[in-house]
Amino acid sequence: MLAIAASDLHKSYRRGATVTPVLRGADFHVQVGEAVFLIGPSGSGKSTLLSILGCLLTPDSGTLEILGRAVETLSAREATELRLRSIGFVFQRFQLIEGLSALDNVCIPLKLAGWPAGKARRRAAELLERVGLADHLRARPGRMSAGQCQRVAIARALALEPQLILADEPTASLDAHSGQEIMTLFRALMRDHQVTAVVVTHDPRIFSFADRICEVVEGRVRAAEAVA
Amino acid sequence: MVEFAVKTLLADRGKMFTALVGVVFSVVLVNIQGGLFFGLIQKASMLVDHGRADIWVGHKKIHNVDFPRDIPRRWVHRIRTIPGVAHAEPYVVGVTQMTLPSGGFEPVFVVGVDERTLMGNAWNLSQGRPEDVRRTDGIIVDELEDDKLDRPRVGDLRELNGVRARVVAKSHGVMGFLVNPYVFTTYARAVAYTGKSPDRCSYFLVRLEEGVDPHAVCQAIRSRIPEVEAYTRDEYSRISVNYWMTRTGLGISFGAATLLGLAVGMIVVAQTLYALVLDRLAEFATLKAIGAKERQIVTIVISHALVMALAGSMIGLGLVVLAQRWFSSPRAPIAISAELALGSSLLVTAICIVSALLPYSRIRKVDPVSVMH
Ligand SMILES: Nc1ncnc2c1ncn2[C@@H]1O[C@H](COP(=O)(O)OP(=O)(O)OP(=O)(O)O)[C@@H](O)[C@H]1O
Ligand SMILES: [Mg+2]
Repeated sequence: MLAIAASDLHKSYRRGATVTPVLRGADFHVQVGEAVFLIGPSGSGKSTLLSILGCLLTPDSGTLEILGRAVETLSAREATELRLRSIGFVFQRFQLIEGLSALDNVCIPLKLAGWPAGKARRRAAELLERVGLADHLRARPGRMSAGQCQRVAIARALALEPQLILADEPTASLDAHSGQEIMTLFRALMRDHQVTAVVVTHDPRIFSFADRICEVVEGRVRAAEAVA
Repeated sequence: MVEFAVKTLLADRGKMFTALVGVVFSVVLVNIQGGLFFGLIQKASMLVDHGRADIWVGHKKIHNVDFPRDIPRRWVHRIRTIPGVAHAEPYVVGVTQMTLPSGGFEPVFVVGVDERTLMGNAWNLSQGRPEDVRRTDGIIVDELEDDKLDRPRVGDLRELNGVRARVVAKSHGVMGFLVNPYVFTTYARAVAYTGKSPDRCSYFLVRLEEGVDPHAVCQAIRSRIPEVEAYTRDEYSRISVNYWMTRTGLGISFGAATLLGLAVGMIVVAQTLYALVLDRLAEFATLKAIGAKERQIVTIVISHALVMALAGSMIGLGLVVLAQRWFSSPRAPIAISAELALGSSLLVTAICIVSALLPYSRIRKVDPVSVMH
């Protein structure tokens, strides 16, 4: 079964008169439960592709099905709902809310989904325990290390048990050791929840965590040769 | 989402404090300005508000308690026969000059009350008793007007229109809208002090029997004596206040000053909310990316504004109560009604919400895809 079925995606950025074509007929398919890593030179369009898969960006043309739903047919509201309930995002710079504690950060998606406060807090505490931050529930992002912040971000991404996780360079802000730790944790959590993942990365040290590696080159996606 | 808004707001104490100062400033300003305004304008109807008459009867065109036009005194008998009237007495308000021991003089308002009922007499006496006004040559003046009247003590003599007057009691805070002091005395002496004819008077003050409708009696008085106008206490109080309100532009100047202050306060709030949001555009983009609906974003922004408005109003009103206690005086009374306090808080809340629209318009434009870059 396919979690992602993207065919012939095109996307150009227009700024005034200049048009930058980024995706030029990209095909990309991911099985449910698979962890696929996306690599490619800087500026090749990896983040663009990930944004499209995350319903944050609309392709100029092509067809896209995420978790069995044709994205073109979704209203803005439905797309927002799909992101909230079915897709978890992990970003390079964590994107935690500075003024909130680790616990409150993990509570955000739960609150957005309308969970009552007490239930959301219990769930968030449980998740933070699972990522090894039981002692840091009250800590603010500013007081935590990069590795700890990324753990909080992963806990937040998993809060509503999404079927798909999209991660953009999740280890780029971490040192080698924390990178390994985060990816080990990430794979373990993926197994527990049978989650599908697409991870954009430049970091060859974590390639071993991938089921499959694809490369974005010249606006298309193909199986990576060197590391496969 | 409200909890989220409060927590993020509390996380940036510096900005929150600045915005609070803006709200507090606005609330205090509106209440003090408004309180001073109402305090001042209410002096225009002092005699009516404290006169204990249910109905004021005067010349057809009366429009201000301090500036009556005299009417024949004998009409009072016709009023007394109207059903529902308990009693009606003539009352004089007139202008004359008081000659001072220093050789100076001072224009004063002479108020002449019925000798038997003392209706409309001075109140809040600090020395003497109201009935002392019946004593020979007796007048009552206010102790806050001491400077204008060469500091008279009880027992001291003055001259009004060349006629002897003796201070028999003193009030505290009986001051009108104008700078001229009130001098209370009996009807007969007031006529002499003002040089009026003894068969004329300025008003008839009417007391009603229990449970009688004042408007019906006013109507009866008007039809019995077509040359007069009759108003209930509240009506004549309002008319006297409106006289100064409309003829002086006082409302406009106080109102303009208040609006200006409000604008300054609100610019501070809008500015701070905007800065707060600008700092966190990335966080709003994140919220949108992970699935916040537009309505939820609006809730956050409005909560920010509401928390500010609520906290600022409470602190502001607390300060206003203190300021009123310390600074309100009979000369410059600060009259803050529940309506003013509540109204100002609602106004400030409304403006806070409006000033949150500016930052919101900025958040609206944030594209969630920006979290990827
Ligand atoms: N909003 C935008 N407007 C115009 N051009 C853009 C925009 N976003 C990205 N681009 C351009 O599109 C191209 C692809 O960008 P993208 O971020 O997808 O690359 P990437 O593979 O993620 O690169 P990196 O490895 O550096 O993160 C780049 O040339 C970039 O300059
Ligand atoms: Mg990128």
